[in-house]
Amino acid sequence: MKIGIVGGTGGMGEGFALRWVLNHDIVVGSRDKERASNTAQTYMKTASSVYGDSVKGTITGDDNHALVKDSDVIILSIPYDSIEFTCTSISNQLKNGSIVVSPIVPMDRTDAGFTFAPFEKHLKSAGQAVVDSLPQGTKVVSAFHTIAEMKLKNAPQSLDSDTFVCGDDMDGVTKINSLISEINGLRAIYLGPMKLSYQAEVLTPMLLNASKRNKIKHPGIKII
Amino acid sequence: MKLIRGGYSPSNKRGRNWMSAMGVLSIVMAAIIALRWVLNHDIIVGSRDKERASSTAQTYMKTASSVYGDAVKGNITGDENLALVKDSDVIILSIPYDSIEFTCTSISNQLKNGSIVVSPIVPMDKTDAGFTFAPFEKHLKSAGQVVVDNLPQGTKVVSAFHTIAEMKLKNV
Repeated sequence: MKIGIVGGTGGMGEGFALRWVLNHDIVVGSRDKERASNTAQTYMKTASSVYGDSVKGTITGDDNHALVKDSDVIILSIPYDSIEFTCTSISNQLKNGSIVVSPIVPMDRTDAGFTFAPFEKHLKSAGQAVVDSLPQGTKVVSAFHTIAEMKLKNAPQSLDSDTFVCGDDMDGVTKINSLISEINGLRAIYLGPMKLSYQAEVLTPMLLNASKRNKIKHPGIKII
Repeated sequence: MKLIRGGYSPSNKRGRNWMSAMGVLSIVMAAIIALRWVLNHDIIVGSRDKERASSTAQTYMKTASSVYGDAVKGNITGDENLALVKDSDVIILSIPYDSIEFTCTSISNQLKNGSIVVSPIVPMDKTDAGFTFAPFEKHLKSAGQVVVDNLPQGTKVVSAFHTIAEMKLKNV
């Protein structure tokens, strides 16, 4: 499977690439193709040194736009405010049957702590905003909101946590669940349709506040 | 914290330095909370119907005694929702979201000085998509915030106990 990470040179991109390159080809995206290629090379070196010969995939770089047309799964590692622009510009590039994944969490940092922007400002959840900005019928799955970046990067360490999944298309959900289970120690918990995506997303500012106020490093979440 | 009448309980042979009187408004979650905290505190289970509150409290107390035996330091009694407030150091609002305004307004002038009001309230709806969080869907205030806004300024309000499974809590 080919997995494209839009905005993959920052944030969670490295972690996803290092986890999935074991079995898949990863394309890390950036607005700057040069930068994408360099970053991809660095990730690939890390992957080889961590896994040795067991790496079956490759990590390459491309510009955000170009990677979409070849990807079976597209991870949108972008800010909430870029959703409309990015989705509109990739709309006619999407491969038939491809799945778009939103790990996006709209947060603000305030005096009270991190807040969930859709609640405070009466906006759509990120997952819903992605659905609404892509052609009707596009498979969209919302997942990976509460994974600590540092832990994800630290392959192959077990995450020992859950990630909550929302989506209207069960084929898309099933395929993403399977990618989730390939990450060591990560369990997929399906919540329901995209309408409920806010329930998965809001856990991120919640975790960050819990972490900061109670001095818990790189927090994760697990249902017990 | 005190047994029902607030303050300290110095005459305590088992070394507890305080006991709190916990008022639990409404019976739904009360079993649960009562059975856990009666070990060290006096619990008042509230209902609109005092009679019902008393008989329920007796049932809880029997359960507590049979589970903990002599280790129970507190007791569980029943009273009507309004009456229990004036003696309680901690008041748990085990009520629905829609009752917050009415309940808070009616207990406002009963609150003991320094008492703490706790909101375990979660405003949810059951829809075809699943359970939804009403304040998000309907642009309402969170339960904790509504409680604060309906009590006199300066009242101590804490929001907690939202995600505890009722069956586990009951299973002391």
